[in-house]
Amino acid sequence: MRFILLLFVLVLGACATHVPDEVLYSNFLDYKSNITRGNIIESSPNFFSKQLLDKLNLTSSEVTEQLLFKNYMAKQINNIEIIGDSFGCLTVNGYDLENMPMSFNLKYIEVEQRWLIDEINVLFANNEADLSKVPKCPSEYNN
Amino acid sequence: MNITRSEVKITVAKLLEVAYSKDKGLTAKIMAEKGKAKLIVDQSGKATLTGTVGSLSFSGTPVLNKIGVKIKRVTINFENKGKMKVGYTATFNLEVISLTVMGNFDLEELITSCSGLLCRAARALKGRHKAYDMELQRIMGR
Repeated sequence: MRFILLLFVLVLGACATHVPDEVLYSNFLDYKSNITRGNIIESSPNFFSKQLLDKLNLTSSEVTEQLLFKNYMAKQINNIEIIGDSFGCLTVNGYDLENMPMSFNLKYIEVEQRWLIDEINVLFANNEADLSKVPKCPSEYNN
Repeated sequence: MNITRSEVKITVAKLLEVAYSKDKGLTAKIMAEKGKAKLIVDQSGKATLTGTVGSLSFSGTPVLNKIGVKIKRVTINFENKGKMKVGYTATFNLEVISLTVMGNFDLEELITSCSGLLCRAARALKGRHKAYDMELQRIMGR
């Protein structure tokens, strides 16, 4: 009886502390804390896909600023993600430097067991109600 | 520095201003019609404004060149909700990222600003009038 009770408590405890996996978001946090203007050439392959970087001149300040898109957001509200077979999409909602609502909509692809950013959309919304409650891929804004 | 929310909004207004200066009647008709309209600027700078009542082509290059950032494509979806209130979602495809800005404006106010004294004063100058940009920003929202 005591054993069953202990098992019940353990299962209940595990359920209470279970957090859904945030594979893409943890990758985004890694990008956010580790990439800088100073290390962008060496660090970019750790965070961005080859097909995204291939066409770019990483010494151009215009390109650098866009790869540092993280600087658009001053404060985060929440994050949501979806992962399919070979790609996933992450939406990070927050506020920009003017305290207006905005989101990052990122497409990730899996390459050799690493998730890399393949497409980037930065969305500036009018109201917080316009921010998506489901993950959006950048392609949803490109038509 | 990256292109900002305000710059995108002002650019949307300026593209409409160019369309309006090319064909006042058709631009006003397309935009004033209740429902959807679309403005696309392709990689060559060719801009096309399309609505249920017709379409209009013009060059978007002079407006986009002012931004000073390489822009591959612009797609703006307008929705006239009636009574001259127009909502829009504008996506600017840059070299690495795409920027989407949602906004709305009063069509009548925008058209009036472009035919008013301020607009004529701005056009009389070779460059752009800062006060005019600020006026467009006010109309298009923060």
